[in-house]
Amino acid sequence: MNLAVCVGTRFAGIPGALAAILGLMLGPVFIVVLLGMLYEHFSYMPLVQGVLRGVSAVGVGLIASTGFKMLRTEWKYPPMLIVIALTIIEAAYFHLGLGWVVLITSPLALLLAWRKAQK
Amino acid sequence: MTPLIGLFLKLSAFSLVAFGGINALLPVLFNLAVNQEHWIDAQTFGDFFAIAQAAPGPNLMTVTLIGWKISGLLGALVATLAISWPSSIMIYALQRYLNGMRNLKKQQSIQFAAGALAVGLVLTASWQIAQQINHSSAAYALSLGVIAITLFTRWHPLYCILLGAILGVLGLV
Repeated sequence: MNLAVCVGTRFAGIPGALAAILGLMLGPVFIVVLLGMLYEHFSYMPLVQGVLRGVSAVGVGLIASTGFKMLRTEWKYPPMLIVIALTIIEAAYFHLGLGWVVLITSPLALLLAWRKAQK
Repeated sequence: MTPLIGLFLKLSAFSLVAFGGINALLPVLFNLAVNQEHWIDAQTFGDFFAIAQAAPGPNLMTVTLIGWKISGLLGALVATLAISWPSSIMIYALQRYLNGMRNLKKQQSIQFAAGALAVGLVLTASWQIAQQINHSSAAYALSLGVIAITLFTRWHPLYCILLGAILGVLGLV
């Protein structure tokens, strides 16, 4: 999505961004609504419930793995791992909202990022 | 018409903080849709999440399904638009700002810092949403297995989804 906006902007400014979003979204929206209608009719079936249980657990794994893949590249500059740990502690342990997490963490993040950029 | 307007406003506000990508904010979306607005129940959220994962297109399709549940096809379109426009504009502005910067080191610093924050937020979000969606230790095991598969093999994610569907049908998850 964000990528579409960036590419669309590159080629044709704001209209490009809008076109990219529309092109990217319209087909999938109709497909997913179709799936939603099927869900409405067949979600009482144990078979369908089983499929959805399995797929949702996979989905959780897929999202976590995007995080772990990003984490892998962060090892190139280990001090940055402090920022990541701090973010996780604030969000997961202290349940701070996104705004607070960004506000508290970004000074250290920017400092370390500045040092990383010098290398 | 009123529920549609409420949906549009609430999701637009949500999108304003979601410019880092919807994955990092799934727990917030869960809280909004299930606990605050009672648009859907927890079970339906998990099911919609699964459908959105299996369907082609971006992950924010969970939001599309929530919109569809509230007011049909129009709701789906409104929800998709509402979740897209604020973050798109912000990304657009941010990209112009970064590209316009003369100091490459400064530009890199901002990207590195945002990247590190995003890693922490996505990892936290996946843990929190796992607690809402996974109801058995087998489900957690499957999630962990998928993490291992995606990190250490070149399997296409669709195979993981297929694997999950089969395990689910067999009643193993």
